[in-house]
Formats: sequence, structure tokens, C-alpha cells
Amino acid sequence: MKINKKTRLLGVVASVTLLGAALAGCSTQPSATSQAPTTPTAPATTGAQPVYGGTLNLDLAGAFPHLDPVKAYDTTSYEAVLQFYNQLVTYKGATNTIIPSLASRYTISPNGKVYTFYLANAKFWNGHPVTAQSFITEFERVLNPVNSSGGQGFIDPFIAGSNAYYSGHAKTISGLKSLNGGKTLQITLTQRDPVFLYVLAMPFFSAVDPTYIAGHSESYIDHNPMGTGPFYLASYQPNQQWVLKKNPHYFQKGIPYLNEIVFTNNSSPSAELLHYKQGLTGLLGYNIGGNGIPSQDYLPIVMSPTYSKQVYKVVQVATQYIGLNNKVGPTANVKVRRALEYAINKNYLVKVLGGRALPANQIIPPSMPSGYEAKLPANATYSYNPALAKKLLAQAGYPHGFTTTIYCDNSNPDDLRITEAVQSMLKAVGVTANINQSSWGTFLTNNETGNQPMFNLAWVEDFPDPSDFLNTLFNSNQRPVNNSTMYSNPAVDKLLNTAANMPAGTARDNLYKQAQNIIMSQAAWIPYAYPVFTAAVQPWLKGYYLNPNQVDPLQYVWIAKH
Amino acid sequence: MISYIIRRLGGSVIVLFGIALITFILAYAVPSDPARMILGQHATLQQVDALRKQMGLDEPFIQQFGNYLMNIIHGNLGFSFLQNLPVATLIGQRLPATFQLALVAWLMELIIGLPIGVFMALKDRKMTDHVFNLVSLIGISLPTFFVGLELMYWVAYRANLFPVGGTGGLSFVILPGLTYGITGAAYYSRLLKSSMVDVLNSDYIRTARAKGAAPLRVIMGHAFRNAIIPVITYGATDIGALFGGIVVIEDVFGYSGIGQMAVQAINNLDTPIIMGTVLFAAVFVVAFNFIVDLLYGLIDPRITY
Amino acid sequence: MATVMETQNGIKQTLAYPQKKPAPRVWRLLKAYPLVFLGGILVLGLIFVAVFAPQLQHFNPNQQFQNGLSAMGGPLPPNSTFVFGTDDLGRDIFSRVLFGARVSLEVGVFSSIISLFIGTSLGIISGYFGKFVDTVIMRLTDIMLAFPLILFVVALVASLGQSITNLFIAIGVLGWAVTARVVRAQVLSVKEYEYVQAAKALGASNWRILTKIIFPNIIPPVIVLTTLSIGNNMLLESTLSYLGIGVAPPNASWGNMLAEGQQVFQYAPWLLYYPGLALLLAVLGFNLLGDGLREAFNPRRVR
Repeated sequence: MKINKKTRLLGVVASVTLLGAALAGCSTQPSATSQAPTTPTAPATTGAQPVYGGTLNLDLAGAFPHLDPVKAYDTTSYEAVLQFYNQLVTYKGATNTIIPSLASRYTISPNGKVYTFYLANAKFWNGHPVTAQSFITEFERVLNPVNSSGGQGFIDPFIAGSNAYYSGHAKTISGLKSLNGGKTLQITLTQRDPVFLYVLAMPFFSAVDPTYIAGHSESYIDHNPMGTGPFYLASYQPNQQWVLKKNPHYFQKGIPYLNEIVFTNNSSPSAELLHYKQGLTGLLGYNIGGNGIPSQDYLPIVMSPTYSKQVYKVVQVATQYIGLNNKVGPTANVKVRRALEYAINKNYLVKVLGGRALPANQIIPPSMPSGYEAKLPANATYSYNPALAKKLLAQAGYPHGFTTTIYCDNSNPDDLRITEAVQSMLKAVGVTANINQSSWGTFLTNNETGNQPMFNLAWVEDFPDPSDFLNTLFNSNQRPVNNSTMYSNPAVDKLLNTAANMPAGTARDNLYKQAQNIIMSQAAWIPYAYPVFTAAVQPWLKGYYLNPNQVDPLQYVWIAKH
Repeated sequence: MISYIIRRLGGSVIVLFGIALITFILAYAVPSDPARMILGQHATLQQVDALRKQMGLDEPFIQQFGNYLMNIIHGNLGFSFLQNLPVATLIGQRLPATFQLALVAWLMELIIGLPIGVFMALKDRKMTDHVFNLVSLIGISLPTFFVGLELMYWVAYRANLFPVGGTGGLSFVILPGLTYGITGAAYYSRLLKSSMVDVLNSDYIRTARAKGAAPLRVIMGHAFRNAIIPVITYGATDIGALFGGIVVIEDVFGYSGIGQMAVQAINNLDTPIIMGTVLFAAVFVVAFNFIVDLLYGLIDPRITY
Repeated sequence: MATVMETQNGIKQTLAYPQKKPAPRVWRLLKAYPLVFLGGILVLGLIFVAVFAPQLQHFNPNQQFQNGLSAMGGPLPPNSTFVFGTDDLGRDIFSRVLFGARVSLEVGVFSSIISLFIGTSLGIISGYFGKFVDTVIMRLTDIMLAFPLILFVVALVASLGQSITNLFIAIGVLGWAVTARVVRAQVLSVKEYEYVQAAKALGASNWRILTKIIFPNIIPPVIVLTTLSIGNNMLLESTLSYLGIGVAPPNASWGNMLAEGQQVFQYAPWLLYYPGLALLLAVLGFNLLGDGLREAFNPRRVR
């Protein structure tokens, strides 16, 4: 999804950070290894015996907007919902591999259309058992227009009968069946969907207790969760403090270790840093509210000999880019766009970000399990060369450059700094770019009209599949909302549409690579950085790792004596 | 008197109506689509349209405003777009923290401002006066966030005297309050000084002095008591404004007050919260102005209505 | 001191109207309030810096120097090349502070002019013509004064879009109500003077009374208010920058420099201190000057 990298002042945004990552020691992406000073997959806990008990204090940048999985479509809510609820499947540790969760095992039919989930023996906090109906109810809630769930687009029309249910033509979702006395859930799809398991790992599709749902108002459920998760909400003071306590009957034996997690609302990055330094909080820059250590707190941490050792880094499955309008203005001319690619010094932008990024040369980030190209064709490769940029601009008919506007939002100081740096680089090749900075809401609405000449934005995966980047952002049927550069190329559309229904594998990956090569050669975007997620973790907090697609592993961490 | 009160109340209602109208126009004019913000990127256009309809966003301006006013009259401030709770509940949740901060901030202003004002009046046009004046003016010439950050770093972190930030009990309120006190005290000291100088030079004080009344008695018993009237007036309007939330200071210290909620709402274009918080703040200003006007009549018999 | 005060009291009573003061008295007040001089010097210094910024600059204030960032990508502390250090984009803070004087002064002055213009016009109309017009205008000022100040500007800039002109407008539109009230009160009191009544009786036109009698009398309080509001508006600009809606980049204003600086103050305090000091001195200058002028024009008036 489009993301404003950080939501300090905002507190609430309609975007999700699914922080993807390739980790040191993880086979998917060696390029990330160089960036990781510590080895998150094998934290300092190795060999040590986990300790039970204790309270973990964490600062929370803004109140949890939603505790109802149906509505959890922002970073902050995401964090909470994953502590309170479980899904059918989940990601294994620090990898992109899907493993069973509330489904103890599952099978997929050979045509890729029928998924059968055999449910684990789990209970909600109120003692009610998890059954197939727990999921059917949740799918129905996601598809019920009344709930305005962000999850609807992920299953409608892919699950059989989902659209009929959404539009009110059917009372049930025909593709969902409770079998074997509720112990088995069968899901039938309309077509093969290689990303379906990733979708099921999203919090939208958690198990909920049907009797609890039926007995309480939608607003009540949103603030009083009832799940199967490792922690339950013991008490909260609105906007101040949330106390999570250990679920003693958690269906996974042996965890969680912590007795209690206390989230305290503190929207000030300066105060957050000082709290961490005082040892009051266990983590600085966990996923809540954005992408890691707050921008303004990062340098003081890495410049300190003590704190720099506590930093975990990992490359996100995300790309920061300058969008160029492919339809209107000077950038509608492919020669102009190609010229601008040479004007941007990506290494400098990475430096401006304090090293919290890798320079980007393509749309798919290296942390994506498939689709990233080690070597791009020559006509899709660009390097920093302002003289060449000027020459190409002259050839394109703009010997004296042109004046344009570059849009960005004001939620994260980094965005403005990067935009200013880009502005100054464009100036060097004769292009005058005025900056239009606005709140995230205004920026997004404006962006989705497809009329912004240039904009600074990032795209973070919904799930680790190249379709989530290429199809969502460059298919002409995604104009103007997601494809807000208004890129349109029938050849690319054909590749993307073909790949969408193919089984995962090399053949499919190659189609995405072909599509990316065409898009890059036409310079629809200037991808400039792959953001690096950072977190500082107290030495006494053990068992922590940065996992690729979900939020913090709070159920696996424990507090060592200190 | 009664008719004055009625007229005055009528005026207050008009003021609140005007504020509601202007705020609504401002929120309406912001180029943004709350429905899209709620639904996120994967929602279809048809889904967005349906939600717009459900939220009443497709109705003409006048009708939307009319609906809003009708709801207010029925005591309903609306429902937050993004937080899934009634605006009144959200404001209510932040009320205790906001009031705590307002009171402490106000007391800090008084604690710093009033003694300085008395000293300045006693040392009128002497070196002490100038020095105090300069110091208090430096206070109001500094950006509040600058003062707040310095206090946070030195007093809370380095000296470890108070919590660095966040919301909680009284200890969380001291530094934000002190920040406000430092940056606002000069208004009180200058006001008290000039009214005290006036009083000190009035005939009856000089008479009291000539009769040999003890200086301290003269100052505290007569001058201060009489000079405090304009300070009370200003103080009442000041705290009225404070009850509406202190935007920047709340942000610096990560304090969950109404000001913070309002700014977040503006950034998120959560119109019902914007409307609610602005109206909430305005009600206090209007109410305290009203009280001040009435008090004035009680304190100063020369004023007739 | 007693005699001075006594004389003053005498003046106060006999010279309460009209408001023009004999020059020697102003001079005495200036001597009694040395801070006014300090204020004047600070304001003149600010104007000097703003005017001669291009001559005084060391570098282009918007140029991002690759050698202006540390190896970690952080700003550089003050050194022989960059005397005030660099900011987080490797720009020279000294030159930016100089140019920031221009922008901050512009914001202060232009927004104050807008308030001055609207406030004075409405104040005069309201005070002079009275009746229904007065009621409407005063209601309007009540509305403006009851608005939560910062929220209003934030919302206004959010709907107008971010630009320096919109910033002038937002701040200016916000500030007129106080001016209007003061001017109206002044007009009301002047209107009651016997010689105004006499002029009316002799058939002087409204225009003549307004320009020849009323207008000169409202100038002193308006000058005071405007001086103070320039300083306050410069401060407000920094607050708005802090909230992310100040002067648009890359141009430096002290406000947006401070807003950048506050993010890094724990490890690069020079980003905060230099523009902060500059802003403090400038706003202090206007406050001292306005305060002194107020005393000079009318010893009874408070705030």
C-alpha cells in the first residue's frame, strides 16, 4: 500500500505497514545481510533459558484506532490485533514462509482452487471453542459493506460467492463450508490465486467468537477485543495506557513468556528516545506507528557507542520512489522521464536518510522473495549523470528545463528532506520543481486523481509477491487510484494479467521480470531507495527478531535478569 | 441586568453558530476524501461511493451543515470517521488530562507572573524593573516548543526530576505547565505592574502612606487587592482558552489532550472531530468571557448594564 | 520620582484628550524606559540583516553541500567553513539564518499589514457608524476571538494549501479582531469630543471628520498593536512550521529552521540554537519596542 513512512502527528492513517524483510542468515536476500549489524535470526538468546514473567513497557505513538480485526488496516491497530487474535496461517519466525497457525494443517487441491483447513484445538478467552464458523463469521464481516473493511478487496471476488454476498445477493458465502462438525473449514476460490495464503495471514481474517460478535455492538467490539491471542486486554485508559496480560490458555504451549505488556501513549519522538535511554521502555522503533526508530531519534542512537550495538536493521519489502506523471505535463514524454532518471543521485538520498535505506535501481525490492533482478537490461539501467540528463532533456525539447510541482506529505520529516534534496538535484539539470507539501489525507486524495506531475511516495507490500507491486501500481486498470502515475502499456497489462492466475514458480516470475524491464525502460518512476527497518532493543530483552511480514514477536520475547 | 444577560446569551449563541459555520466551511473546503481514507487503497470506487453516501458526504453543503446543526441541538456531536467512537466520548476521554494541564499551566503563569509584576511595580523604572521586564519579555519571545524541548531535556532527562513525556498523573503535567508558564507569565506581570503603578500613585494610597501605614500592608492590603481586578479578568479569559487544549505543548510532550486530538483530526480530515474540538474550545472561551463580563459588573459598581 | 509621577498624573488628567503628546514627554519616557532603545536597535539590526542578506551570506542558502554532511549523514557542527554548522541537508546555517530574517520579517510584516488593514477599516466603520453595522462587526470579532487560534490557522492553511501568501492571509485574517476592537473603542471615545460634536454641528462631512480628526487619533494605538503583532506573527510562523505547515521549502524561515532543528536537538543543538537565538532577538525587539511605544503614547493603557 501507499504509505507515509511515519505517522507522528497523525496518529491514525489509512495505511498498513507490513514490514517485509530479508534477514541476515535468511536465504532469500543476501543483499540485506550487509546492512544488518546484528543477526536478528539468531538473537543473543541462543543457549540461554527463557525466563517467564515480567512486564514489558512500550511507548505507543498514538492510540490504537481499531482493535477489531475487520477494521485493522493501519500500522498501530495491526500491532494490537496480532497480539489479541490469531489467523488460519502465519509467517514462520523471520521468514516469508507460511506455516499453519489456528489451522493445524491444510491441503490445497491440485487445481489450486480448494483449500481445506483442519483447525487446531483452541479457545477464545471466554472459553468458547474455535470452529469453522469463527472464520466464516469473520469473512462475512469483512464482506459486509456496513463494516467498510479494508480487507474486502483482498477476497472479493477471489472467494467463490464473495461478490454476491458483498452486493447483498446472497445470504451466505458459497465458497466457505464448515465440515466435520465445525472442525474443518473449506474455502473454494473462483480461480487459482498464488497469494491466497498470504492474504489469509492478514489480521482481517482472524478467528472471532460468533456469539460474542452477535451479542455486542460493532463499536464495542472495536474497543473490547475477544480473541484467541497470546495476550488479552486487561484494562485500558483511553489515549493513555493499555495493559495486556498473558493468556494462560494460549493454544501454543509454552508461550508467551511475558506476564504483561503496558503500552503508554506518547506521541513525542524526543520523549520516546529519552525513555529508551532511561531504560524505561524495552524497544525503540518497533513497528507501531511506522518504520522503526523515529527519524529524528536514529542518528543519536547509531552515533552512540552503547546504543548502536542494540540496533536491529532489516530491508523492508518496500520501495521509495519519485512518481512521474505518464499522462500529462512534460513527463508524459518518455524522453523527459528517462532524462530525469539520470538527474537523481540515489547514494546521496540514502545518505540524507542516515543510511536507513539501500539505493534502488528497480521497482521490486531485493527483499522480495521473487521478481528482483540482479542485473537489469541496459535500456532499463540508469546511473547518476547530470550532464547526460541535461543533454537528454535538450533532445526531448527542453533545453532550458521546465517548471513543475513535486508533491509530498508532511507526516514524516524524512519525506520533506528527501523532496528538498530531489528539488535541488532537479534544479541542477535546469528543472524548477516547487514543493507542495500537505497532510497525508490531502496528499493521498490529490494523488489518487492521477494529476500530480511528480510526487514522493513509498509502496510497502501487502504480502511478499511481485504482483503486489507491479500489478497494483502499473496495470492500466489500476489507474488512477493505485497507478497514480497513470502508466499504461497494453504489453505490460497482458504480462501482468497472464501472471496473475499462474501457479507460483519461475515461469510466473519471468513474466513479472519482463514487465518490470519494460516499465523501467519507460521510466514510469524513479525508484530511489529500499527503506531499512530499524529497531533498538534493550540488551535485557531477549528472543527478539524482526520478522518479515508481521509485527513484533512479543509473544516470543522474554526479559532477562538485569 | 436580566435583559443584559439575555442579550449577552443570545450573542454567545450567535458567536458559536458563526464558529460552527466557519469551521464547517474550512473542513468542507479541504480537498480530501474521508471515505477513501477509511477504506484504504484496495477499496473499489463503488465501495468508496457507497461509503460516501452512507456518511452523507454526497449531500450538498447546506444540507450537510444543516444536519450537523440539528445533531448538535440534539446533543450529538457526531461520530468520528476514523476512530469509530462518538466525538463526545472522545472529547470526554481527554477531558481530565486537558483540564489538569490547563489548571497547572494557568497556575504556573500566576506563580511566575504575579510576583514579577509586584516587583516591577514597586521598582517602577528602576534597574530591577527593567531587568524583570526584560526577563519576562524573553519568556514570551520564545517559541513554546523551544522552551518545552529544553525543559524536557534538562529537567526531565538530565536532572531526572519529572517524567520525560506522555500522559499520566500530576507529575506528567508539571513540565508542560511550566513551559506554558514561562512563555505566558509576562502577560500577567505587565498587566499587574501597570495597574499596580496606577493604584500606588492614586490619592488614597498616598494618603495611607502619609498616615504611616506599614508599607507591606499598603502594598498587599490596598494596592494589590485593587490592582488585581484586571488580572482576574485576563486570567478568566486565559483559562477559558486553555481549557480548549494547548496544541504545541501537548505535541512536544506527547500529552494526550484535546489540542493533540484536534491537530491529528485536521491532518486526518476527521471532520466531526475537527468540528467538535473547535466548538468545545470556543464554548469555554465564550463562557468565560460571559462570566468575566458579569463579574466585572459585580466588582466594579461604576459599570451599568 | 514622586514629582515625575505627579506631573504625569497631572498630564494624564488634563491631556487625556486629544492623544497627541508633546515631544519632550516622549523623550523623557524613552529615558525612563531604556529597553525601548534596545528594542529599536534589535529591530534595526533585523532589518539590516534582512536587506543585506545577499551581501553578508557565505554560501547560497539553499545549496546542499555534499561535504556538508558527516559520514553518517548527520549535520556538521560549527567549523571554519560553516561558521554556524550545517543542517541535515548539508546547507550552511549561517547563510540560512540571514535569509531566514527576510522570510520571517516578511511573514511578520505582511500578515500584520493584513490585520491592520482589515482591523482598522472595520473598527472605524463599526465605531463611527454604530448601530446595526456595529453589532454585526462586533459579533464577527467575537467569533474570531473565540476561535482556538492555532487550530484556525492550521485548518485554514489545510484548506487553502501551503504557500507563503496563504500563510500571510491565514495569520493576517486571524489577527484583525483585536485591532478592530481597539480602533473601535478609540473611535467611540474620540467621537464624543466636544470639538468633533462641534465640527459635526458646523456641517463637516463624515469623510472630513474621519480623515482629519478620527484617523490621527487612532494611529498611536494601532502602531503599538502592529509592532507587537509583527513579533507575535513571527513567533506564530515558527509554531506553524513546527506543526508542518509553515513556509514552504527550500526557502529558509527561522520557523522552519527551528522546526527542523527541534527534531535533532538532542545531538545537533546548533540547528536549534542559531535560528532560535535570531528569532528570540527579533521578537524581543518588537516586543520591547511595542511595549515602550505603548507607555509613551498612553501611560494608562495595559495590553
